[in-house]
Amino acid sequence: MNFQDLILALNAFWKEKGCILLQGLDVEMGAGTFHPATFFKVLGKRPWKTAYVQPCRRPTDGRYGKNPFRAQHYFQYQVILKPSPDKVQELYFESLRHVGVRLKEHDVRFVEDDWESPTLGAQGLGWEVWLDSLEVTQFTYFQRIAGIDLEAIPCEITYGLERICMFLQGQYNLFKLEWCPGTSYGDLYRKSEEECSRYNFEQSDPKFLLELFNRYEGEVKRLLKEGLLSSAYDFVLKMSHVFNQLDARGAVSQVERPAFIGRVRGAAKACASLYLEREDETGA
Amino acid sequence: MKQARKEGEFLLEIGTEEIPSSYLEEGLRLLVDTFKRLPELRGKFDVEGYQTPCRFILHARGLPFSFEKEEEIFGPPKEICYQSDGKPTPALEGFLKRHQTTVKEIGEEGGRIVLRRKTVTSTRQSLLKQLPLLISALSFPKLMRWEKSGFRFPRPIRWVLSLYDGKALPFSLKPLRAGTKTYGGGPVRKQKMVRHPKEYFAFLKRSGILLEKWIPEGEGERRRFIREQLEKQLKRLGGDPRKIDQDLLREVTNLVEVPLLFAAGFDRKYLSLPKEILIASMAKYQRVFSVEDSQGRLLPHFVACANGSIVLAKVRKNYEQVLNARLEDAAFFYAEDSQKPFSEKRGGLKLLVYHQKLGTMHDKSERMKKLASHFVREVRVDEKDLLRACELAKNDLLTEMVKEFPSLQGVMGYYYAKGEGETEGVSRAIWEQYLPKGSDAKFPTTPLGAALSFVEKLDHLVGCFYASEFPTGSVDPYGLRRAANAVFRILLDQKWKLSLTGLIGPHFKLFSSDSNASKLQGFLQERLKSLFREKGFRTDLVDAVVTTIDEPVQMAEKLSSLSEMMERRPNDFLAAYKVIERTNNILKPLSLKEKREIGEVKPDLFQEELEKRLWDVYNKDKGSIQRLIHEKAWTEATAQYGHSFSEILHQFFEKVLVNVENRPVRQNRLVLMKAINELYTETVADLAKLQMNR
Repeated sequence: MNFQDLILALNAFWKEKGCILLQGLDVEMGAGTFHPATFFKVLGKRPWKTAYVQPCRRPTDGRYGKNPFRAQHYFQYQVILKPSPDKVQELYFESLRHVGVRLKEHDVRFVEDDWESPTLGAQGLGWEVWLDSLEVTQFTYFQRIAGIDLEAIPCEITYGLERICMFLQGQYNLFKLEWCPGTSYGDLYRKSEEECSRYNFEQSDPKFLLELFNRYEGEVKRLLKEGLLSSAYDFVLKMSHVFNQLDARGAVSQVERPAFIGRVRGAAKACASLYLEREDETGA
Repeated sequence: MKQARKEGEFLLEIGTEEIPSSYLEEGLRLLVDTFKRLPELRGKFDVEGYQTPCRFILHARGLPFSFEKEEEIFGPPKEICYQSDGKPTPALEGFLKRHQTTVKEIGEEGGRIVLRRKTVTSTRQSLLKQLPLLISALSFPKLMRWEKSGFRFPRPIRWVLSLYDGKALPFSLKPLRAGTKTYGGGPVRKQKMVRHPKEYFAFLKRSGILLEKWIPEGEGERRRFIREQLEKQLKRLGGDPRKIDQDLLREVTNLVEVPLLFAAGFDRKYLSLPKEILIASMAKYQRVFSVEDSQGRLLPHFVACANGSIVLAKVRKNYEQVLNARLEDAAFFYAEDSQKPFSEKRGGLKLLVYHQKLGTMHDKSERMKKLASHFVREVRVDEKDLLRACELAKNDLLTEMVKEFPSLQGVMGYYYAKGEGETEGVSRAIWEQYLPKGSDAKFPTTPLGAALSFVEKLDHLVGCFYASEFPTGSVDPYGLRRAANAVFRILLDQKWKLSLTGLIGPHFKLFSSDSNASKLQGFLQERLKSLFREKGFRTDLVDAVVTTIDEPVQMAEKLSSLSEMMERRPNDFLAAYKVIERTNNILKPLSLKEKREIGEVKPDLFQEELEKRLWDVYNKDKGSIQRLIHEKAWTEATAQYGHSFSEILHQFFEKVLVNVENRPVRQNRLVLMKAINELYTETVADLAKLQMNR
């Protein structure tokens, strides 16, 4: 199964299970969890089911397109089921079968991996799912987001699309995966991988990035006062990404790190609080 | 409480999503122990506990069907219970009615009505009530919620099977109700109704599920199976089964229900990487076992343990490809690290915080150099080499390889330093600075490595005490007990003769305050004592010998000499002991200050013949005893001491009263006692601390 067929198959599966199919957000982020359809929608009591592909950027993971496993840009397929159904593991297995994994023939393992995002003030418990020792999914029961204990526990299933594709194609080099007949993943992304690695590690201007970080933070505060939650949150995401770029450039010392993370978390928390206030007003 | 005659069998299975492997053993132990201690169930019955990553199982046999309990219910004060004609008042009648009893059944105690009676409760009833409490009270390192009741467990509970006496025991846990169904293994779980424990265990067996029984310090069925299969595979591949990573074996045991072992291989070209990288990659990314031959050479194979029934050829191929890709990743890191000059990484340590109050890793490395130059005079290593090793010691923390595999700190430093032309000695020391790691782990093999490790740890101890990061109870986040043990074990292993007090003092001066210096000395002395106790020396002898933290090597010699003497020459030892004990007793009432200022023996104040003789013996034998002590002939010194004084001191105490009225005479006798006592205790051991059963 090629990359684009995998996305189509997962969409078909989760649509059948009642998920709203969304698109990834057009702002840089490190994981699908940052998408408002996860970050905000898991707060409060309202049930919510969604699935979407989120392109992710993690500047420190760049390897100039030379590493078969790691890249600073990749795709997550994110599913949120809130509240988490009792048979959620079975549902997940069903989805794997649906995309062509013959579960009975393979070694499937749930290996403890508790998830934490200090920048989002978020924490969850769960596993990495291994297929024949290859990590293909993060499976997490959220416990807390933006420092708030969740009322209805959502289950987050994050498929590493590249990894599942590797497994299905028996091709353990990211860039050699087939995206569609005649075109490889590398054809589409190797060049930008190399360029972004060079930018993040060698060419980015830390002074400029730092200035952006400060100004983005100011915008979050200003826009929250104006009640413009969506725009404020966009700038939280930008803060987070710029911090990751500074980090990749080696411009954040260990001493400064907690302070940076604390500032992003503070901004994210302010957004979450405003969101919950509004939820209360609408009587959710 | 009395046991009824009939006995029942109870089976509990808590079916969960995969519990973290490190929780399983302790969780099961708690379940079994708490069940055994249920107050209602006191008595003789057998309980076994079993686990898999998805099950906690409890199987109890010989449970009494019911039990009697004596109950005591206090009622109203007696004076308001009876009317003048002896008939019960409404107050008493209310009490009788409430407890469905009659006047004949009640008694009185302390002026109050009391009802004592035996009640019979069935085990079934009691289990129904107790099990939900028991399960919700189990403690684990981390708990989670997954459904609306807010019940907490390490991972979601998906079913509970509960059978008692051949029937369901359907207690309610908040998220669900216990039933009689269980499930098989693997991603597609087969459901099964169970009526009897025998049927249950047979079903698990048929499903290929191997249980790990809880045996203290023991090996259950699943671990044994995996170990035996692993050994078989290793032998076939030419590997040495003695090199099995025991921690990994334990972890793998707790990751699978239906173990299936198979051998596979990786691309030979990666054998050119340091073998530690390969071993760490295999253990971390795939939890597979590397294969080393008896000469310590790594072979291009590994042994994996899969879960469930699989198509072996496909799974093996996938494992191999994943490992090859991972090793490509490692090779990339290694090449990247090797390109950048290792010694130049030191500047980057200024960005790496060691501890908020203790500065950066760069600061630490500078402090290590200072400590090293104090200390190098006392041990036989080359100063230039030791300083160079201190300088490079922490550089590998900035390499990609160590960021990826923190456990390879030191190891990578060795390879990168050596690759850049540092001597084998300096490079080896960088590796060995983290040894010994556990209680019986490997020691540094070279004096330079030992010296670097010693300096690294002593700086850690002084720094953390300066920062008031003391270990408390079982909490020791900075590993200070481990560090202190390592310091002493290295010292003893290298037989270094040095004064720790003399090193700690100046090192505290590098920080802004040495107010915790004596606290650190006390801590180190306690660690030293416990280390000697662990080596098997008697507690009181350790207390007698370990009175400072200086010269631990000499303490070890004293301890083994004196221990041996107590066994082989008990009478000689006892003679010396009695001298110390008696002189100590007579000096006990004196304060430390009095003892210090008591002065010298004045022979002209002697009044009794025995005093003079004792003083003569002291003067005659003092020299030879001191010589033996100086020669560290502890046994002979002790024997000679006892031989010199025990008989005459005995006579002295029979005939001479020390505490006489005449102050100068009394004082003079005490001084004599002190001189005799300290001749031995000041330089060998304060034997008065021994508890001898005579």
